[in-house]
Amino acid sequence: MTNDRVFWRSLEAKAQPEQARERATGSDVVKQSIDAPGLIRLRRRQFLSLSGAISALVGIGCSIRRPVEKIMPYTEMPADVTVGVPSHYASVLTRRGEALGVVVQSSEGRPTKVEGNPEHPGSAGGTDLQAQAALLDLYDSERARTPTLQGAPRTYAEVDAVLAELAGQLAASGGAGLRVLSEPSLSPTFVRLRAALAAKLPNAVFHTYAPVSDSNERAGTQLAFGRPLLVQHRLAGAQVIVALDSDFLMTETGSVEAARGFANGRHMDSAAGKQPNRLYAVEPTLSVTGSNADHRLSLPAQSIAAYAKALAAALVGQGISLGALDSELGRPELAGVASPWTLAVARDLAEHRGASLVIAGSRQPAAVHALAHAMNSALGNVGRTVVYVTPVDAEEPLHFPDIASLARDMAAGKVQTLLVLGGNPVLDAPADVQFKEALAKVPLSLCLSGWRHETGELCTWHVPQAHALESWGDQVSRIGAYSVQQPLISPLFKGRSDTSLLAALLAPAASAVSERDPYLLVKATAAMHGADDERRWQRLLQRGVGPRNVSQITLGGLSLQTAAIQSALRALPEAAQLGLDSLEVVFLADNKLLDGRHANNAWLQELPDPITRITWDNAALIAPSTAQALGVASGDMLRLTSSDARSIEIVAWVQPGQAPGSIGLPLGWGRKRGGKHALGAGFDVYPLRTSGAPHFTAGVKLAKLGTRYPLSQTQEHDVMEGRPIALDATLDAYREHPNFGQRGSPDPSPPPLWKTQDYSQGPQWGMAIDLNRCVGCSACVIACQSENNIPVVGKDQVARGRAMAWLRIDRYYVGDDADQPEVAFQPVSCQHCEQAPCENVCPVNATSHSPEGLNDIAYNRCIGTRYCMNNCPYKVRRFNFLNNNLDIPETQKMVHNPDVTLRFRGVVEKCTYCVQRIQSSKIAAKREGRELKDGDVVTACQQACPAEAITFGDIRDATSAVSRAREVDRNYALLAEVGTRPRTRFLGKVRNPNPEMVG
Amino acid sequence: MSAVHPIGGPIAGPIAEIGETRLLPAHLTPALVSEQVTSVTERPARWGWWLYFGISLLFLGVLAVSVSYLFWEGIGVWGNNSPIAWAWDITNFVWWIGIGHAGTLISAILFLFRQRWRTSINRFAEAMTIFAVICALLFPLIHVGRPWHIYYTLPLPNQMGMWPNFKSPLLWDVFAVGTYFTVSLLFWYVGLIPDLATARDRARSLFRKRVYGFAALGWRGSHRHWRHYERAYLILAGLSTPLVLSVHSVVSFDFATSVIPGWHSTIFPPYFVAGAVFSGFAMVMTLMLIARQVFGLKDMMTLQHLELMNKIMLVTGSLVGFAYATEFFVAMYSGNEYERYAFTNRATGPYWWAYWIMLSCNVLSPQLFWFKRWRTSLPVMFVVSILINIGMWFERFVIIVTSLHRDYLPSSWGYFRPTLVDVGCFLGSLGLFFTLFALFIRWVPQIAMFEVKAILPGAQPNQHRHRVERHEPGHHAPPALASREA
Amino acid sequence: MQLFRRSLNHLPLALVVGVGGLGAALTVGIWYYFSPRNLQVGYTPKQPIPYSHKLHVGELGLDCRYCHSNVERSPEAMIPPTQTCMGCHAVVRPDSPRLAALRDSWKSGNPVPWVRVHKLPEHAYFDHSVHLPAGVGCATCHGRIDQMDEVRLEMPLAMGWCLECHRDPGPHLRPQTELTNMSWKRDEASTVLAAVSVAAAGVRPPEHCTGCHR
Repeated sequence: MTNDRVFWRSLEAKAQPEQARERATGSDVVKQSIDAPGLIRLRRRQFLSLSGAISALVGIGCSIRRPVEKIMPYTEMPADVTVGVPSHYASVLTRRGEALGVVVQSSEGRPTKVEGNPEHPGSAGGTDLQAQAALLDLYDSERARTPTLQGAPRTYAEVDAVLAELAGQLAASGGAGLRVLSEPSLSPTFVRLRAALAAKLPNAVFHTYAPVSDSNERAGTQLAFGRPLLVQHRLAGAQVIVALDSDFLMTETGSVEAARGFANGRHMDSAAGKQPNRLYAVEPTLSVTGSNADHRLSLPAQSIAAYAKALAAALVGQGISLGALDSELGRPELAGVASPWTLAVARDLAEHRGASLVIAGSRQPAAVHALAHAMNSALGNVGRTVVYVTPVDAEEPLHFPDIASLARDMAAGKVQTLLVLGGNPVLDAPADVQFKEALAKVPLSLCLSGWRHETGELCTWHVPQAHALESWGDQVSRIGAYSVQQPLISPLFKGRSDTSLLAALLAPAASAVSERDPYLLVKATAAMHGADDERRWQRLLQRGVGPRNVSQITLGGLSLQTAAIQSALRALPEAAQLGLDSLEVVFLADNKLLDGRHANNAWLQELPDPITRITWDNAALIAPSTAQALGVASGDMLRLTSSDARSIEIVAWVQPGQAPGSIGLPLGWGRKRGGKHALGAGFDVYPLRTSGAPHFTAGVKLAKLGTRYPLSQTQEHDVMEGRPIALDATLDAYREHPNFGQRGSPDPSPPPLWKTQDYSQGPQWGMAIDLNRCVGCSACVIACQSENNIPVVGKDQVARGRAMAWLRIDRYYVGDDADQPEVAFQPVSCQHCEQAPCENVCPVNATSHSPEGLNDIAYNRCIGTRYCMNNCPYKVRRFNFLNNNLDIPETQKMVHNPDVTLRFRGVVEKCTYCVQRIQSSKIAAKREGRELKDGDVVTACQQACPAEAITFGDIRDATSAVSRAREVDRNYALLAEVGTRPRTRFLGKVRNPNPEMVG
Repeated sequence: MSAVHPIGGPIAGPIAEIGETRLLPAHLTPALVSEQVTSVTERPARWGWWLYFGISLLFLGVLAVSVSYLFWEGIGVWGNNSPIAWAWDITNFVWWIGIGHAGTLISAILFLFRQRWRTSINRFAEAMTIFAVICALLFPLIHVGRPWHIYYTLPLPNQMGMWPNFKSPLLWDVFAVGTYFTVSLLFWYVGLIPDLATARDRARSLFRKRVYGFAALGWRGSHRHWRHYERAYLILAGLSTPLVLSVHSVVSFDFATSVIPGWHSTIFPPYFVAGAVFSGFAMVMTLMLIARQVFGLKDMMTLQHLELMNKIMLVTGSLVGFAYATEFFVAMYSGNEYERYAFTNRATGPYWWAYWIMLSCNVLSPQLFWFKRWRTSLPVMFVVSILINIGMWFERFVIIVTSLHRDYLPSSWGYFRPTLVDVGCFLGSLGLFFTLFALFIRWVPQIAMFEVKAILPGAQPNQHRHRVERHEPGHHAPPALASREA
Repeated sequence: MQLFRRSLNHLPLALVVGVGGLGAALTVGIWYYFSPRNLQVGYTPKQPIPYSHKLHVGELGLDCRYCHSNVERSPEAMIPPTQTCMGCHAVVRPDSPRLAALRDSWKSGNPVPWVRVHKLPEHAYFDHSVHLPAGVGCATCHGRIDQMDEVRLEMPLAMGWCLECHRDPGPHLRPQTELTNMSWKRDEASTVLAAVSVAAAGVRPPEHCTGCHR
């Protein structure tokens, strides 16, 4: 009987003795996971579906007694539980190369919401969409449930037996023929154990691979400084930022922190405020970062290096010498690129020594990174806007050569035993290394992964991997903050962690628990990093961040290896000639699925891509001009054939801002295994990817297949039609007209037809959204979905215009050059109008105004005339056209927030300003006999926003953050001219173009 | 029969100078009227009727299936979406309600205006009103997300301390349409009583005697009966008259009171009423032309009737056309960019075709009736009346869907595509309508016999007083026009 | 052929009055008799353990909060864990046959399957911890628990019933000291007291939707 089924037996709430035993291992939270009231609460949300039946029964009066309901109290009360009151635990999630400190809410033992941990430097309280969606991965009913041997279910006892036997053999042979392939790790414990294992088994070889990683960054620092270092940007202090094919606000490592810093550097609290930063983006594909740039140049990925050299040369021209490198750089211009793009940018950089920043993206080769480091040090930015940090795992090899060598050895039969600890090489290893074929030659292979995916299926053994929220672990953030990964719930499917597997190999079953139990192992590591007594340990768990930094920041003793850089620059390949018969393809980390690891997450699948607004699919992104020349339209099926005759089929999407001659291919889609949502969504582009050119390659031919493929978008119209919607102004214009926000026609404030609400009492809730801070990352959208139990409707329903998101981010293209558009993002949810058009038209009073200025909606009163949707000028009301909560797998039901009703079909829903949070805060205040204070209520979107673009609070209190934000001169009410008096106000965006480059 | 003819009133004959003509053929006698009309319900139905009835039943079946599926799955089986939350459902509702209006207009207003020519068609028109309103009522009921809670819209005492929202035009609809249906039904039934009595008295089988006897509520045709009857009928006519204006005005408030560009307009009430009468007459025309052929009632539904109706259609059609023009002008003149866009989008946007269908059917096609040749040609008026029905459906579609699909925020613009179930529900409602109609023309005297008789030459008291004294069983006609003029 | 006798001439009037009256009667009937006041009140299910509040509260004088210890800090007053019962019954009547189910639960670790008596609709979010500080006593909603051998539903717990108090809390509130006092009666003096406490506590019960529905 799997733990999963036990859990659901506990709907009738059978207490679990074995759970109690697990408590002994220190995970106090486990016990809560079977708390009965929570489970009975789950049924609360089936109410609406029952209401029909109930009313029918009552209607004919045949049943005067409701169905008998049981209450299952604890037998023994856990120490730290108050039934009905959620508790919060600090933990940490891995986001690419960065640790993301989170605080997880646990409602009666089941994690129900992930939020950023303000104490943690990696998140500073913000999160990204993957972190917000982590819960759905945790509760995914399609995760592997039992270990399998050649596909046949096996027990964990058998796995342990095999591991013990293996450990024995290996100990004898010194690990001969053993290969361990793991993903890049931020965990000192893991690294520690791996080192120990390596020491114990000298003949074993350890490999590291991830399809999307910071390998080039390491190579870059290795090249520039002769040692592998991590690069930590401090964007807040940067006045001028040049991003060389770097999407540092979205898909690159540390995007959460970067977004925060970027927004701070850009913030203006008044027209007279400090100078905002200026961002130049040079990139092949319109990225979220590019969308936020003041100047954006779309350039094929292969030309970025040349541009970097030209820029460096221009810097030299500005008297910023790169020493011996100067001779390498050539002329400060680039064919086909307007001269200001080198000269003016260089001048701008030079004028901001120590307050500028050049960022090289992880797609670019080591030489470009090295050149960026050279420029930064020449500009005196090192130590100010960029610092270098020693990595936790100093041995991490360069991924692509490494995976290639592993595959070679496997194919050559040199590998007897292969452990795959996480990752999915069969899917995402470069096509040319032919990992799949090589794997067939390995006698014994064991794969640890959450889903029985492409790799898990082909390995001899597959062991379910525990989710980060299910297992003990630890991580070190970029700047070296140590945090512990606390489990919130006992593994639903009894999964194992990579640490525990290593431990099993390291310490035979006989050895002490302290050497095998991940909890104790982590505790031991923590002790090495300052949490050396119980009190400090508890404090660490509580804060989520350790007392002192693990790895130190390295500044002194860094000297540029100019010679090496020189030769590397020389070795850079010439940019190939691009044409319609020889196109460049660029492999993109997907905005939502990254490398595909989140492919079975319905929330992410249904989230519209921040740029293309496509849901449930990826597509080959083609520049409008190129598409026109090739006669390709969005939705056409294409075949892309690389120079070495590898080919894929994928649907075309004409994407403004894509570099002409270059095609963007988002990775991680078109999965063959790994869950029903992953299957058949999008197209797999890995088959085109080779270890030689893993990031971009030229010489690709494009052929139309003549067939069409339907794509679902949530937004089909890209321009504002000249309407005052997402307002922006250049810095000069802003300084001239600080109130440019009010340029829409003024609020008519029509005479009320009936007695208007009295807003003079109590808190008056309002929101301010600063479009100048919002980067468009969409974390808020998923946060809202998680907090408010918003259902997923699927690709077909989205195509029919029935997406349910309460909070959407509108994306508009501005400007007339389709190849170089400016982008405007605007998060729109219910504006909570004081003169709400929706309220007057509801025939049954299902939506009405609260004395606190909320636009209330009572689902159970709603009969679904949809009149309110029609009459909402912002179109933020959503209707349950079908029963969207039908057949939710039992495990997935646990993701629901118990404080929000689940809506039945036929009911209208919308943003409530997270009223459940407002109420609980108010009640808490009452309980404590105090007044609400500013900051007591934090909405889900506000909490998740890494850029702090959203402010919420009491607008009656003039001192509150939201009142001050709403008074910023840029403020405006969306569609004020309709006279709705919205409670949500926007602050117009300020663009900061370089005067030399305007016009 | 001499040259004494009724249209100019009891005394004078038609005044040739002002082009008056006889309304009914001379050879028509009360007995003949009763015979022609009632026999339809007495003779076994012709195959034509069975065919028509069968087809109608088929479509009624389609309705049953569509609605069951709709209730089982939810509104999602329709094409409605966000932003187009209302589409065919409300389109059909408004369309049917509009059709209903002609009945009330003909029977009530023309009655108050003493338009005698109405007598041949009012029964028909009233029946149509009832059935149309039934079809109309269907859609608000099924278009809500949770029909089993629809009673929330009624001001019933309850344990929740909740009342409906009296600010909501939808609630006004509930009351307006409810009243309209009740009054129309009463009006129709009261009007039927004397003729049901005729049917009763002609009946041979005991069953028919009993059924019609019960329905006739013991009508004997005594002077007192007639006096009461006249008074009741007059009162009901008086009640219905304001309803003709009020109902569709209230329906138009659903749109006029909203903030959506293309809806938010003060001309809606008159514009909707004109449109309603327009479409109503078109529907009456279509039905009459069919019945006239099938049951050979040419004597009572004369070409003159049809021509008069065509004139009304010409007028109302042009009124509607004028309303379209006004809308456009106001939008452009207002300077409100959203309004302007809404209307240019109607004519040139993704739904341009709907707009131009509407315009050509409603405004252009009736213009034929300027010419007597076409005004009096059966095929022409049949085609035109059908075109108008189509056009008026598209008018509602244009107002609802094209206004909704592109309103304020371009990010939320959408497009509506109907599903099979949409079509099923619409055709099904036609099925319901025609089924009811089939039953009506088969079992109920479809022409107000006694009123026709009242305008027969024979009904002139100054000439045939004897007929008044001697009550002839089986021919219930008012004793004297005097009482009616009173 | 005449179906209707003269005597039936008053039939229409009778019909109008009759049908109208019937409709009204039906409405009122449903409104009154199909209400929680009639359908729910009096619900007294059989409990797995014949626990008597009359004995424990009425006679032994246990305070409500001894067992329902969450009531002041959580939305849920909480049914006590077996632990709590065993606290006494480990020594008091340790082998009474009526407590067999309790002992089983303690041994097996399986909870005691109590039957819920006071149940609000699933979409109504009631919070005990905010009603107590406002001065709503236990007996106000639960009735004289101290006189019940088996717990019985005393109040209709219908929306209208809640609103009665939310619209005019004053008369229903009591001093903080009397919250768990089952027999507390408000006399004139205490009305004043209550009135004062209302003002003091600044009790502003919500009357809008999201006060209770989310």
